[in-house]
Amino acid sequence: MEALLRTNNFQISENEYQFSTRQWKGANEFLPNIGFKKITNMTYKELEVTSQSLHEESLLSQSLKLSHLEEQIKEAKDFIRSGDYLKEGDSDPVQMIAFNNAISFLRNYAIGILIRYNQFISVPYIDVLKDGSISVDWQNQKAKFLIIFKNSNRLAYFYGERGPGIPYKGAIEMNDNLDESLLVWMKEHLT
Amino acid sequence: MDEGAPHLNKGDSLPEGNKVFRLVLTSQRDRKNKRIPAIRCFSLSQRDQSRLSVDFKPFTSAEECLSRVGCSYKTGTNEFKSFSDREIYSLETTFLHSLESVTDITYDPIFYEILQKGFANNPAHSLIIFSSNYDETEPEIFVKLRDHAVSRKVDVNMVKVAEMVEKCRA
Repeated sequence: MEALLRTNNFQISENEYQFSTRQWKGANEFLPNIGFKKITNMTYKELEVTSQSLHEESLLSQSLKLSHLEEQIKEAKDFIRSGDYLKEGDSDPVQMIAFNNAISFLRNYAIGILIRYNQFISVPYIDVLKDGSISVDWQNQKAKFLIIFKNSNRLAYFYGERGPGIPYKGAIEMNDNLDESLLVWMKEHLT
Repeated sequence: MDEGAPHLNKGDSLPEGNKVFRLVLTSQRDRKNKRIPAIRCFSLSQRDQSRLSVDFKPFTSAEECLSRVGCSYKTGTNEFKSFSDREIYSLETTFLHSLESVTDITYDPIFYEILQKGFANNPAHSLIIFSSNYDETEPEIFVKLRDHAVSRKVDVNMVKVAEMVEKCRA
């Protein structure tokens, strides 16, 4: 969260962040719930928030109104735990690193789009591939986008298409930084 | 086998302008999320060694494809695979060759020296072979394969399939 707020030039001192209503209409509702104290209108002081707290499902569901994503994440998690995908005997097991990277990506970019643009990302389909990778797959009227997380901390490769087959492809590293061009593309086509 | 079907030896490239069947397993979850076929249907496990199994259409029918699944054991078990939750898509070899990572589509028939229950011969079996830099292009390939397949679902006579499966399982 801290990195995200800094990235967006919201930070005005060590623990203080300022927003305009254009930048983030939902700040009044969201920030007090995750340990920020309101100082003046749209100026907030960070109290004890950690990036870990952003990954708590209940916090996301209640405060960020991203429950639509959380339902899909839970469904995917339940599917993996059930072991159904292994029953045919032709798939490799999922390593949790792949799943965790996929979920971190989804949450981080969903929050980034919400904070920056006050828009909600649409729900992707999170699935298990035969080599144990995790695919996160969006399909809507505007575009399609697929990103694959392997059973390792390697790059995650993605491919998107908008309009009549205009491609957008690349890779992201597994860290907390948001890829700016990817964030913008996702905001434009997956919200 | 179609009349006028080409003569092929194991390892030969499939001739252009033909079609191959890709048989996929669907799930309730795929249906609920409106992902038929799912991206997973075109993915490979480590043991697949960058090769995706298909059946050469001139050498088989959709019903035979599906019945072979129903006559086969799940890997490492004596339990037959289900066949009613599968779908078949007819893919154009010309399209497959246009994909960046596809290096070849080869004929790879499967014949067992001694026929055993749970192991079905497959005279149409073929392989789409992907290049070694597959990881980088994997998402693009999957999206394009899915988009190509979605409008090419093959209607299958399930009554006929059930009869064929019943016979081989007996």
